[in-house]
Amino acid sequence: MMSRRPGVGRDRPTVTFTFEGRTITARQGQSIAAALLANGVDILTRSFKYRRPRGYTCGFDACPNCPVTVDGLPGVAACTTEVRGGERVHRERGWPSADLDLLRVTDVLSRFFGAGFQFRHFAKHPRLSHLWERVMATVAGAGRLPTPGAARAAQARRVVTASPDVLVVGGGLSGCAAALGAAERGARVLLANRGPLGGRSRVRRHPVDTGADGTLPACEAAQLLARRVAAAEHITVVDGTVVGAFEEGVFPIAEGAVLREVRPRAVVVATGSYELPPLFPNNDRPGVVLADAVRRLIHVDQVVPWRSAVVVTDRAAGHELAAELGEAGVAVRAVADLRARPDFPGTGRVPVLAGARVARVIGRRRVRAIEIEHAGRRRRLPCDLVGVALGERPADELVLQLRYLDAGTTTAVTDDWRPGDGFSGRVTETAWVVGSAAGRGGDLSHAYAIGGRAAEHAARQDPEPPVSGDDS
Amino acid sequence: MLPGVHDGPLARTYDVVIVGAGIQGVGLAYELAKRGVRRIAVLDRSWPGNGASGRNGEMIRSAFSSPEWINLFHHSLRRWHRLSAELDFNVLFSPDGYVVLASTEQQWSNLQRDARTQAAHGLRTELLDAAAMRELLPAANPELVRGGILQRDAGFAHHDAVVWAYLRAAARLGVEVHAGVEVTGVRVSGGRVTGVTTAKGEVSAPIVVNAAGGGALAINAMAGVKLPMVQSRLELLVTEPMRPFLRTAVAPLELLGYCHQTKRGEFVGGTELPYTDQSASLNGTYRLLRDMAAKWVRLFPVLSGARLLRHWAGTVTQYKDLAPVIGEMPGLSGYVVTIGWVYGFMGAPAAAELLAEAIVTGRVSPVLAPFSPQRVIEGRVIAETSLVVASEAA
Repeated sequence: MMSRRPGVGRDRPTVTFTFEGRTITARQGQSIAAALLANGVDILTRSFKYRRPRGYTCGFDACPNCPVTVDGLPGVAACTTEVRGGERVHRERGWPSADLDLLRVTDVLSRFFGAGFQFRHFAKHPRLSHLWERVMATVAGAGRLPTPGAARAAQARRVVTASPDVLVVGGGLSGCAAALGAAERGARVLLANRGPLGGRSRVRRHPVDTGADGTLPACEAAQLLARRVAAAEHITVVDGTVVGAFEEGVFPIAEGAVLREVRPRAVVVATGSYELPPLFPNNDRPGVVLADAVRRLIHVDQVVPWRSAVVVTDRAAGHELAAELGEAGVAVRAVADLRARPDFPGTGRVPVLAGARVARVIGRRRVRAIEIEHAGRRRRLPCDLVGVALGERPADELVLQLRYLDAGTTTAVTDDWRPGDGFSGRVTETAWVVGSAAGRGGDLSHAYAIGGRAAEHAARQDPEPPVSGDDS
Repeated sequence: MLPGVHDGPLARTYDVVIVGAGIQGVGLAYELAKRGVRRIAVLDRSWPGNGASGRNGEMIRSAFSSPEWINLFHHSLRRWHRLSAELDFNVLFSPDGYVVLASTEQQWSNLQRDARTQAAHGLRTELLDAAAMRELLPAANPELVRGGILQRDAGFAHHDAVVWAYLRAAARLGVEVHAGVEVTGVRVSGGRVTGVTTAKGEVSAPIVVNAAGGGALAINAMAGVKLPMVQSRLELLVTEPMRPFLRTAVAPLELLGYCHQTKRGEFVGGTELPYTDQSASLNGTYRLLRDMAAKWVRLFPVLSGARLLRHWAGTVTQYKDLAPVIGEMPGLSGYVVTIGWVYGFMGAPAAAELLAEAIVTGRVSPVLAPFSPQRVIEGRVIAETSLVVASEAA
């Protein structure tokens, strides 16, 4: 039986791995990033050109700030990859190390290296230009190449084909609901999802209306739906990445050593959303962390590497984040609400700075303080976490790809599929979009109904027997 | 608006109208302006470099097998070495070498023959046997390395930078590049071209140049010109940045492929299947993606596990010999084409210069002459065997 709350509790067994020669202990199920943060490692990589320090930021493998090399394979997202035990982990950029990068240009030479500098310097000096390129290739080039063994292990060894009635892409709340809705109508469903089912809802606690089971915190709703999906007879869950949609009607799924070529009769896109990053100087400093990533660390990994925080927000969710941080024992110095008139009354415990503007984040290697303009003066608030809750945008790449495929070509597709009044969720003749990807996060009854519609559509297609096999 | 793109209205009359603001069109406009041609308009239905000029392998060589290709592309290679200085913009040309790779005995013996032809035409290319080539390409699967030709002063450049560089230089000389202006008709009267019709009105010009890349056949049709050519789609992939493992550009004949690694570390590679993909679509296909991934991992095993950053498709117009078609159209005075480019990125600096010369002086350089439209009308082909693009003529 699953525990009521997801997460890596203190009761979990511990495992160890080595990080750049150091032995690190983690609890089973924790992410590599969480284990490193718990051990005081803030800088996980360096930015490509200017070598700025980068650390744990998005928590959902949606940004480039935490790739590490695991057992010789580079580019592994530290934030979503669980510690197995026994692996060897290295950071990838920086000379001699990401921690102490002697080649950083941030402070000293940044004027010389303004954006696009490579097109201006050395135009008249081909030899110098070429020499410079070689220097850049060495110092700025990514230090990532798999070992031969890791490269062999990463290769797809088997190609498997499948033609389900309905392919659901994304296994968050809405994807699970759509899969259940389709299976209910008798469809054979393939649900593709990276990692555990539940998506961002695994780390969230806001109330979600599940219909028959009433209103539950998002993380509990996610567990409930994940159990239903696991129990459903006609739903196959694949832990992999849908590479894209192609004109052959195929959706390849990269699933470790298996490459799955899926040709579904209908598709439901449930790819969720991305959190919006903040725009202020030093917004990339380790310690500037997006809300869901903060929640993931607190609730799932159960690591709290911060003592004091400032939350930057423009919505109620930011005040909820402040409350969650407070519960976790972090001293919240202030909520900087960018709105002139926040809808949040304030609890009195945490100062709310209404109409605030973030001037910059201070700290060379990680966040030390944040400077905020509020009520006509500039205030410097010491903190080691800047939690950011600025809303989300749909992860609609696959939807756009489907639209371009449908249009057949080159001209920009119209926006008429986009959410608005009377939006049905239908993207093309055979594809629908649900959940946050459609701007309808948490609307499970819609997702469920769309799953049913996709199933009906599939049932009307050519009744050829399902092709399923293995051509490896 | 992009820097270099004209923001004023379209005039009613120009001396030359060029259709297509790719590297051929903008490069030609620059070369014409440099030679004193005053009123030049380049019209593009979208924006500069949106076609194959920004969707190619960025590779540059002159080590081909036929005298015609060698002469044209060697002229171009020499221009590439001076281009950044002349245009006052670093196009990031990397003369790190270009390898034509043989995997089979047959390919190896063809390359030995090609090397002799190249030497006879003054090219300094080197034949590297299996051992030397494996040393040059340590990351390559030795099973696919039988030997090859290395052209040390060839390489690759940054394709967007080249279009920007020409665009800036042309704009400084007064060329008007109009983006978002679709040509809907070519006006012809009494065997002469007189201008074009656009979505923004009629434009008169005694010279109209078709430099429309993948869209060239539609422009030809508007002018009443019919040539036995097709539009076809080519695809490429780009990986996330990796530590440098490949310095030279490589064209492995066995894989029908071409690749290089940028200075940022991204691996850029395209392959072909043994047929012409006749399509106007810019959507990437799964069959090519799978082909590219499988072939490149086979040649460079370090690529397995690398994540795909981009996968793009572009279209070209091609004749059966894959050689460009450049010059004034017989029977239609003032209508000039520079089309049929499959190796257009590397050839553009020479073609732009020589075609501008021909338009201004009326004399066609012997380097350009073999690529005349007349050869296509007569059905003649230029036999070039070291290409890595599928063709019915091969």
